[in-house]
Amino acid sequence: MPMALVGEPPKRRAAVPSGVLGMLLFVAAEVMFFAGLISAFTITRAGAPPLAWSLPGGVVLPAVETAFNSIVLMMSGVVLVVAHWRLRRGEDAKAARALLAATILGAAFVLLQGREWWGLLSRGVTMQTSTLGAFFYLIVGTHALHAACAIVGLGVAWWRLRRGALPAGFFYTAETFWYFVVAIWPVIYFRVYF
Amino acid sequence: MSAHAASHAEHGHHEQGFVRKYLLSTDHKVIGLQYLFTGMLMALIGGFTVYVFRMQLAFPGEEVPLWGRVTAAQYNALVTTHGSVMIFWVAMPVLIAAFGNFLIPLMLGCDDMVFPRLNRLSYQLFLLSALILIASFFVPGGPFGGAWTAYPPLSADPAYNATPWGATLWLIAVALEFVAFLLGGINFITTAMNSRAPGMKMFDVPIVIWMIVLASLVFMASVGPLIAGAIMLLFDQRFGTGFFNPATGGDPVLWQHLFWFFGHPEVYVVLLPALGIVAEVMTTFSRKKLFAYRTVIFTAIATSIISFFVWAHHQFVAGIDPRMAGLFTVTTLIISVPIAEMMFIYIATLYGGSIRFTTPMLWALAFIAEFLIGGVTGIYLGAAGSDVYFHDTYFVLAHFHYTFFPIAFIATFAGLTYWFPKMFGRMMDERLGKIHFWGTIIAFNVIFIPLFLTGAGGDHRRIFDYSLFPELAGLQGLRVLATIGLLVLIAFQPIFIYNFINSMFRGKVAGANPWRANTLEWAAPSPPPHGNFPEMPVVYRGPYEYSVEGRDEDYWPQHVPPDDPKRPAEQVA
Amino acid sequence: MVFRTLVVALALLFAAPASALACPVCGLAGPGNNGWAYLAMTLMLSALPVGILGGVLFWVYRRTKEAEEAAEAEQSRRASAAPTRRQAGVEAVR
Ligand code: HEM
Repeated sequence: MPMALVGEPPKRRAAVPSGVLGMLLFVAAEVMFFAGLISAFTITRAGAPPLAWSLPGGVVLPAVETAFNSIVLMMSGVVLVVAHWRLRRGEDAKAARALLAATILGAAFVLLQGREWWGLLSRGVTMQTSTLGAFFYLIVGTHALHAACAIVGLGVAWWRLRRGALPAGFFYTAETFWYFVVAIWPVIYFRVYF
Repeated sequence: MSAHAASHAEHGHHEQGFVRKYLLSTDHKVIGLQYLFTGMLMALIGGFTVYVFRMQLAFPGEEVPLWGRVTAAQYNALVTTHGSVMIFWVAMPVLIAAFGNFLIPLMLGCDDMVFPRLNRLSYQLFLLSALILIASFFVPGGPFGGAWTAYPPLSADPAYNATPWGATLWLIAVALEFVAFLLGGINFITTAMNSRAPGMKMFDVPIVIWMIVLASLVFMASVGPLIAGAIMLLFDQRFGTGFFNPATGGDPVLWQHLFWFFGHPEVYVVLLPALGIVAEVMTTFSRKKLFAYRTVIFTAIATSIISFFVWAHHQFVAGIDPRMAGLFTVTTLIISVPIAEMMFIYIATLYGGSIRFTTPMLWALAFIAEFLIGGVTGIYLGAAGSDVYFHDTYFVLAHFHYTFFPIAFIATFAGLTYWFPKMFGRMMDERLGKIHFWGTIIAFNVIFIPLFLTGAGGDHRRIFDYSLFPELAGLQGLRVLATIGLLVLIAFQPIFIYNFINSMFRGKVAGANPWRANTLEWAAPSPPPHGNFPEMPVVYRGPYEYSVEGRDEDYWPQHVPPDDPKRPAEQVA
Repeated sequence: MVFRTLVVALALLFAAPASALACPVCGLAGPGNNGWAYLAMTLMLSALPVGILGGVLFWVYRRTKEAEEAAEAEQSRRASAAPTRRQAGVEAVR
């Protein structure tokens, strides 16, 4: 090594922000978690006797209603992309509005899903009455729990952005997690509801 | 970087109370030692249970000193506790969390983990999980007795396992423990990516760090399905669902699928750090460059990948499709290739070195020798045809103890005796160390070689009293021999504990670099202060430059600038 | 010869898998009707980690390499420019 290089040591540098990298790794673990649930669902469904795979009392899962909810969720993801762009361009006020919209759309999804659960529960679909029902509540409920956590994260990001104190790392981390919640949903939807 | 720089600034260098300093610390070294001591205490539980149930097998129906008469249900609970504790509360925390936390920032030359508070949370969750497991000894019905693999329906239905609380607590403890290691793993990987000392390229990172990082990656990628399964099992136990109950359209074999998807990679999760520790010890004490550094890393990566493709070999007799069994036989035999390659590399590292038989080196050499026996016997189990005969016998048991004992104890002893001077600033006693070594190694073989024989002779695992099988009576002599071996092994452990505690306070003062090793942790004072390095090190070369020609010293630390090759490495102490 | 035996054995296995089942009860029941699901999910679960982590790590690797190269370029530029400061300024302008 030439001497000139020694005098000036190279700097310590992070190729990827730590928060984002940590969140990506966490998301990878989460994807495997959902993959486990989905593979359990697929295997059980393939192995169940034909009649055993249904909800009690002839109830079917409300795929159409949920399609609407899903669109709300997808829109939230798109709006968050918009927020990201605006933030990068430094338009903080506009970005805050988009961020708030994404948060509200996300919350709306969770609430609409909750209403759907309420309807199913009142018609006697519980975790105990059928294995399909059990899987339904387990998988969709787990997703809703993740969504709720992510929404809190987005809400906090909005609050901080409005007060002008949003660290970029925090936003990217929350954003990564929300994209994960949005992206995994179609997989769940097409697997579980049909 | 900024977050933890700030957190250092805020509790800088003023005096901290005992609680702040040792219980709520975010310092990676303290957390590493917390994991270490918790793991060692749990090892006492794992060891005590083994003593009780081995006594029962050798002398069925007799009073066991310190326990009393063992009932069948107690036997199951003891075996389950032994297996779970040894794997989840000893091997994992010590090999990954303790060594990982202690070594990663030191060997990378930075002041702490990237997420120090996440790190503390990780330990707290781990401690909680250990406490929950211990609490299960005191609930009605006692601790879970459905084996560490927890197959349903036995584990799902209190009517079968008769431990309504024990089973649930076990499950919660295991799940919490996984969350703890998930957080820890994220921290390790991010730190290794982002906090390397200036000048340290990817291929200047010591093998042990590579291995711990790879192990964390494998753990993170494999644990998800098991957590999913654990939640389903919890619902089956507590909320009356029927995920694993065929009567309601569930599938009990599904659990095995989810469990072993994690369970097999888990074996490599603990193996890789052990291999890493052995690599560090071996290069230092053979004063020779690690043979084929990059090959080791690529081999380890290949092993990690293949480890995801072998797990169904645990289910050869669980009614899986024989075509799948055929596939998994092939993958299982394939994974022995990289592992064998690694063994050859280590042996090649020894070749022509000037070997010093210190205690850590003895442990490292023993690791290779003993693990080889475990690896070779695995071939018989990997082939679906012979596994049908060997499955669930003591042959399997002896096989995996020949892999696990080297991993969880031999490699740990190698690592502990090697890094003890760094951890506590004092040397351990070599003579006591060697006595402990020989006592442990010989006794270990006396335990498990007979168990290969009883297994091949027909002894099944998880049997509480073999006198109920008159056709196996001829094997009783071997069973007694194994138990005697265990008693000897246990008798030698107080020597280590005495040596450890005594040396902590009264050992010879070590200095910064007692082994004359190259890696960065030896550039820090022993024990390293808060913040690790008085002056942050800069890296100029790879970690294994031993006996470089043209230098007076036979080692060349990573942080010593190349400009004056004659100068002996400065010690920063 | 070994090869031919292997081919025949494999062909038999794939033609009549049930006959190779380890336990007699499973043999009578035959591979369950979710055999394909097990196989498919096995493949999915095994391949996913390689895909996801491979992707993440590749991305990180590329960024690391870019950063390292940028740093090196900067350093060699500085090193070669060290004797005269003006030269460095000129290079930067170019
Ligand atoms: C100190 C030496 C050890 C001895 C003498 C020993 C002995 C035994 C024996 C005899 C059994 C089988 C009991 C039965 O099936 O009835 C057993 C089970 C087991 N051991 Fe060990 N063991 C030792 C250390 C370890 C270590 C270090 C690990 C792992 C890191 C370990 C992991 C296990 C596991 C996973 C099981 C299976 C438990 C089950 O069946 O659920 N053991 N051990």
